[in-house]
Amino acid sequence: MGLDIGRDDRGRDPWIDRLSEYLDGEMTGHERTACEAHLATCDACTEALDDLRAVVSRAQALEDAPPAEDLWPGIASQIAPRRPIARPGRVWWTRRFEIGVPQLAAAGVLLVGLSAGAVWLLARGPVVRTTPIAGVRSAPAPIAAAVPSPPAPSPSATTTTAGSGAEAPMAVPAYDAGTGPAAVTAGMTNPRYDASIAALEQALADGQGHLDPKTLRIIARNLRVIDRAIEEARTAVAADPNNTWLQSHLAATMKRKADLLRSATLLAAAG
Amino acid sequence: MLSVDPDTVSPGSDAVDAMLAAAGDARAFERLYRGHVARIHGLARRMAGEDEAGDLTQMIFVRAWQKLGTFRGESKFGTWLHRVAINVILGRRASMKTERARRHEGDEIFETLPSRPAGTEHRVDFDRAIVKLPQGARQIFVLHDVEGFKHEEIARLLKINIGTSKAQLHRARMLLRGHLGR
Repeated sequence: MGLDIGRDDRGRDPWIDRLSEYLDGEMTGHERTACEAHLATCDACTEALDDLRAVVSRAQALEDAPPAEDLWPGIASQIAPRRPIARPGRVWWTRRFEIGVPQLAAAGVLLVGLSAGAVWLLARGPVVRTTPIAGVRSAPAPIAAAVPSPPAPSPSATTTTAGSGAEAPMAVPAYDAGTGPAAVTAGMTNPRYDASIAALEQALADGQGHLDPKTLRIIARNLRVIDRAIEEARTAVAADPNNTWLQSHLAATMKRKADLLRSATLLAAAG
Repeated sequence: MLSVDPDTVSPGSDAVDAMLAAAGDARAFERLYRGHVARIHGLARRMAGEDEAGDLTQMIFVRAWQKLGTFRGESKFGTWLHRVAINVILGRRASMKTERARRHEGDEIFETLPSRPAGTEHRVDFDRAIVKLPQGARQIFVLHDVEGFKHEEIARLLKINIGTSKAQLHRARMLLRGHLGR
């Protein structure tokens, strides 16, 4: 726009349409000088500029007030429970959950049940499992059976370790050739076991929508505890690879995870 | 519950609450809501009008909850939330069929407002006058003069050119001259 700005065809002062540019400091030096020269002789533009300054000042001083109605209940109903976010290398139960007293009580009851089952199994003596323990589509099993059996001195389920002196080698239970953690003493990994766990995790993730949120939280909490126990046991076995008790403990903990996953998956499928 | 009571929150803990909320703590998110709802609701009301402000505010906080994982703490939580709010508001407005009709009615509606009220009502009236501005002018005025956006940012957000943004801003200011209440 040139610096000599006369009135347009309708007699309107074109400078008045550029006053916001002037106010916001968006004119070039020459334009600004020309605008100020015009303002010195034009009362209408000077008054308009004063008004525009007041408008901007008023806009910057506006106060915010909360809505008359509390909107939080509506928001809360839409955000809870949070849907699990699938992240590489991170399973859903590692997310944080709020656990209330009723849920803790329920977890306690579950723990008592598991303990009772363990005592019952111990009273029966060693058990050699003949059926696979993990499999997403295998037959349902009572949750008490999820408690790992104590190490059983079965030839077919024994890992002999070197350097154990005169004592008989402790047995590492080989719950299942395909999915059991029998290979923990070799490299502490078992691809078939890992594959079964992954399949169970996926099946549970797919079916968790059928589970009550409270139940889901209990399962998640227990899985997190078991995961931590597995990690600790792995670390211990790595530090002391010939310790058969540690091997047994790791295997039992891994089995517990498989059993809990399977029970939860079956529960979700039943729901 | 084991989480902290919202009433016991100390000021300046947005970053901590954002982290807790991102991990699923709804109580932490409620504290964030309480601390920011006035500003977000004000923005929604001025951008979209009183009738839609409540729904939009809810949508903004629900969207923020969903996107908390993207908040890295590089900016203040309020700044991040504000950006989420702008995106929700503009996205919503763009999708509303009724908006087209409202855009054409804007000038007429604006002219029906009483101008230069006396007494303490002028502040409320000014806020109300903003809401009654034609949509294009209103959004740009709110973003520029109330929220402090630059024309370049506004042009990018609204997918318009910078000249249009400047022209609409001036238009809005000139329309609001009559509602200064002084």
